[in-house]
Amino acid sequence: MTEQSAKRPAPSEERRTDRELVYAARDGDMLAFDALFYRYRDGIYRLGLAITKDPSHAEEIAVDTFSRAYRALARLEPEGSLRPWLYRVAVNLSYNRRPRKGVILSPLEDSANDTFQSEERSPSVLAEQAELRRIVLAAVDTLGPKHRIVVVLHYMNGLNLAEIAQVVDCPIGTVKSRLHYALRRLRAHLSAHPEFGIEPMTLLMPSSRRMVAPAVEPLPGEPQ
Amino acid sequence: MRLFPVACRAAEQKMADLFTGELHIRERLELEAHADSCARCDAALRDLSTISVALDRAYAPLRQRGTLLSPARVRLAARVEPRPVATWWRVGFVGRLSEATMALGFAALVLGGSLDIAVKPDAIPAASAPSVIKDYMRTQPPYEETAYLRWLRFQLRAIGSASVPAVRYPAGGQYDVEQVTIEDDWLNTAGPR
Repeated sequence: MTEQSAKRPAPSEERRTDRELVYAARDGDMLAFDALFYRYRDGIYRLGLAITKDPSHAEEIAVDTFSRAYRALARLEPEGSLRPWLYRVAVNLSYNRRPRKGVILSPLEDSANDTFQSEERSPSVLAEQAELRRIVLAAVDTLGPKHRIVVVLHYMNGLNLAEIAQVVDCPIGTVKSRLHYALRRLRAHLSAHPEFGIEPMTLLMPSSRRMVAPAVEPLPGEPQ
Repeated sequence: MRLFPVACRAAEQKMADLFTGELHIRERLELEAHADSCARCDAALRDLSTISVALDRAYAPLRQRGTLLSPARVRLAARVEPRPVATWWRVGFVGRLSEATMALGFAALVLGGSLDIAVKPDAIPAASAPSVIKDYMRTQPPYEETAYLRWLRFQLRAIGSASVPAVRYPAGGQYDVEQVTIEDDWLNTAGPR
């Protein structure tokens, strides 16, 4: 880890904005490109990992993303952060690879990390949390690509609505509606699991399809 | 045909903003006030909060993950070579002077070598070219005894006989023309035998 930290760019490079680093890299300053790489390497790796569920695929996605960024340096004009552009490339590359549905990302490793981080938790609690995590991620897998990427970008990468809109290249209102739709779909899925304490959807807020008036009027005497 | 009042639809739209942290405090208070008076929206708000927290916890281990990828792998993928960062004015005067000296020396080496290469083969005298020294040595008696006697007999015969033409035979004389053509040992075979 010390070697890795030794390879990291100098603090002067880390203070520079993405625009300055892009212009410097365009002029041949490889340290500037390395600074960009170290700045967004882990985020892109996690994004690829969340979509493909394969660490080797996630590494390939990160490498391909930055190699495309290097080849596109001449035409890159980042107004603010380069993150939306990089994430958009990473999302496209991730969806070009076939995701492994139903596979949970090494739950043993995650549980081991939790054990080391919180010694006061009992193994049963950790196992229960791992199971809840598996259920939630499996429910996310049932979403469509457009809704799943919004959930991943917001809850894992921590992007706000404006940044997500830049990544998926659509208006903020569309992102908001997709996120809300995804949450309602997740609510419908997770209501089948009593561990979450979510009451069934039919008794609460109906889905958008039920909010529309029925196309055929019920016959007289038919229970509505 | 509207199944829900407008307040519930507005509250539902505000819930998405609530979980992204982009809901104004005034709108949040309005949403909470509406949830207090509406059991459906209160349950929806509670469930969506539960799901939001569950999603946050589900992705928490992923947020701790990282990779040890190096930029060298990216350069390899992009087929680029790392170029030197320091430009020529950052190298210093001594460095530039040494580079200029090496460049001049190399240029001189190339030009000097090319002068030798530029000599044409025609300028080199051929082995069979006429030579004044060779002609003079052919007229002189050879140093070897047997050759000298032969040369002397040839000379006397040439002087005493009028039929012998006065022309000078080439090296080797009229008796051994074939051997005269050997150019390498012309010193020993130049005289008559």
